[in-house]
Amino acid sequence: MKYINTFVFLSLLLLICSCGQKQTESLPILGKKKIVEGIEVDHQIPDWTFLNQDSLPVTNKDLADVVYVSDFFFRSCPTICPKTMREMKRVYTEFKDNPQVKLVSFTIDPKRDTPSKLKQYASNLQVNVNKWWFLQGDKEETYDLALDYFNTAYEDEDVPGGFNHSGKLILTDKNGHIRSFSEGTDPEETPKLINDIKTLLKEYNTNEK
Amino acid sequence: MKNIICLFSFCFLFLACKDTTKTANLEAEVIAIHDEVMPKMGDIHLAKKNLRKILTSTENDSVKTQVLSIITDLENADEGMMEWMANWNVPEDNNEKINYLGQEKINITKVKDDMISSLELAANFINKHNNK
Repeated sequence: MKYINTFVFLSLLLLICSCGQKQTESLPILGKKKIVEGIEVDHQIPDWTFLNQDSLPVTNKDLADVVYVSDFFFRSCPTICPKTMREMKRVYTEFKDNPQVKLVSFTIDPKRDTPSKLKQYASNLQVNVNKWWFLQGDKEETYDLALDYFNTAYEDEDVPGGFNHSGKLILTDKNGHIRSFSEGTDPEETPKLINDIKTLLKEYNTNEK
Repeated sequence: MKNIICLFSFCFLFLACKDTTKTANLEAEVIAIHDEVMPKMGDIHLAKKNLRKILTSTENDSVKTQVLSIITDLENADEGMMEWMANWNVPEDNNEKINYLGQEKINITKVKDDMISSLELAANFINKHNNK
């Protein structure tokens, strides 16, 4: 009887302890894995270099210490982009004071969206360009990169052109892995993306402790 | 007298309302054509990539000339869409709006036709070349 009581007591103690320890949530790494030299590796966004709104070259390596949300847009886009930009601005506002988060918008119309025009666009949006980058580069390279982001997020390499997925907001971690995405034209999806950013940050903060 | 004024006001309101509905419908039609073909911009990009692969893998000058001509068509179609969007600016005035939207319906239909025909041309050429 004495042993049974001790057993029940210990079981209860274990239960209370495990309830108190909240499991750290983790976002999946999206995209198909590749086999490199016999080892399975996660998908990673390829290296890129673009000009920012101040005509200065920036690369994905400049984002190695932050998580970032990206989208593909152009200033004259009449239907989708105004909606996705509204949602990007919501994300921006939510993490405005958090240096661990950045936003990156790539133009797919580099001919018209020159760095100076992008700077003006950012100014109209009333956003800080150190926090939210507006990037311009070679059109073909931008399309390739867009397809990589979209097709990875959706694991949908069969969609020709992948631009059925344009208008998406894509969350990338510090290692260039895509971790989450949302439909930029649907405001109801943005809170989930914001929540996923917080989950990803928690993941880093827990690992750094 | 009062009745006549009332009747005229009513008629004026009715006609104005009818015009606004007409322009709203016309604008929706124009945008619908744009939205239908806009996702094909990615297809144009992929077609160009596939054509460039052919260009680097062939020594045949006639094939090279055909490929370059199709790439130019695709690029013109792409540029046509980007230019159309950059110029899209619906006037405030209702009468001007109807004329503008009527013209833009013609313009965006041409953009759509150019995109579809250049993509078809590219797809046919690529299929034919790869099945040789």
